[in-house]
Amino acid sequence: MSAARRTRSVERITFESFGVKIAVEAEDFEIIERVRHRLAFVFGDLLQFKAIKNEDQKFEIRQAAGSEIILRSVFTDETHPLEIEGFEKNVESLIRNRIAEMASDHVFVHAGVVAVGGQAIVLPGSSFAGKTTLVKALVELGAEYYSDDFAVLDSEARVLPFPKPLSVRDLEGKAVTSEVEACRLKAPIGKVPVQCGLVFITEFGVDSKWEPKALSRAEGMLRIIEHTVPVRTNTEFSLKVLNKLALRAIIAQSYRAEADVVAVKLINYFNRKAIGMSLD
Amino acid sequence: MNSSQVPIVRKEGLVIQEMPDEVLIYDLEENKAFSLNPTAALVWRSCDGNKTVAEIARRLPGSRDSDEKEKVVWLALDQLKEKNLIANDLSSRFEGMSRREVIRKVGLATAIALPVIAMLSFPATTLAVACPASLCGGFETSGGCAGGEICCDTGGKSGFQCVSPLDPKNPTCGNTVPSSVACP
Repeated sequence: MSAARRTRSVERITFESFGVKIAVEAEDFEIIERVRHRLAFVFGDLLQFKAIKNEDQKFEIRQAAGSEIILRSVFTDETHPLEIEGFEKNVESLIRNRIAEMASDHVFVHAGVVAVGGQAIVLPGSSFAGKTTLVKALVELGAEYYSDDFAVLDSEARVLPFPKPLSVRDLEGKAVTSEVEACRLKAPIGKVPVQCGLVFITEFGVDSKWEPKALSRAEGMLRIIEHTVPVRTNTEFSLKVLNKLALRAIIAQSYRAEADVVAVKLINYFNRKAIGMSLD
Repeated sequence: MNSSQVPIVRKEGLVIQEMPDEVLIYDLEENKAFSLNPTAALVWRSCDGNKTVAEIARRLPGSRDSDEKEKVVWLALDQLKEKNLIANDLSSRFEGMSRREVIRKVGLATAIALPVIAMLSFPATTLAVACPASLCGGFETSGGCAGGEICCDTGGKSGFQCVSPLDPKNPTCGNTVPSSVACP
């Protein structure tokens, strides 16, 4: 149920996701509705609009001169000037990152995630790692879609679905991305938490060779920490969870070339590792 | 004299994750993470303030040569000390020698796996959420910028923006943009 309500002075929505309670306020009903729709589009069932007390984060949005919107994070007193066109995407992105930082019972790792045979393949990576492209290629081979953004780990290091719309770059390589809703992928979407079978650290490079190398548990953890959002804010919990993840999962790395070629190799690698064959 | 020293590892301000053969350490003060390979982990675990370097060396597997083993222990201790993971003062056996020289000297002589401590540091600007609006006027997806885009000072009134590194309109935002401002 939406908690949006119309008042003369301030419009407000309140919601909760992964235990993080957030309020967003604006002077304009249209602005708040655009944010609400965007949040619902990206988060789906992972975010509940409801009345809350004692929010963990509060944002204010106001229109400035010209085509500018000012977003203010009230508790940290940071302000962010935004272009009005598509501002709701930026607001949602900031909220998503705040949830990733503040969700005290979960660990968010920047990663693409699919599941094969009931086990997660986690692909930690930065923007240039091409994780969305690889996730899409894996899904086209029949893997279940879990996320192109975060591996969300619970306290037992199980991977939860975070099936936000995929952000895909245009074929021409333009900066603008298109978004593909998970339900339009014509592929199964993960519904339940799964154990992680493989963490694969990979980076795209035009002439890069596929040479998978298994990492030790501590080496692997170090590589995953690099992409772990709450590592500074919730260090002890994050490391405990990552240690459990590293205990159960194979952690490996390789440079890679084109995603569609590598997706096949990655699934073969995973399947053969899963039955105990070493390919290193 | 060196072999009678009693090293003590630092415990305060650290989060430690133990594994069967390895150790992972996070330094809360410096925001650095370290992974210790089995040899470094064994030395780390032995530095409890009760054992001398010579006693720690005897715990190392793989060689009967006590001098050789002590050198390996000192190689680990030097790295631990350099990374601020040792609580007390130690005078190194290798003082005045470069790491490369030490590794060559010890590595050629010993059959024991050399201690390795890998490190990762987390300056604020390379955190996973390092590219929010405070750096990027427009942040499209998590971590600040859309896939393939970078956070770059375009020189415009908005300052840092999410842009394509290949966009000719942003000549200063090529692939040479330092990683500290590249969006995660």
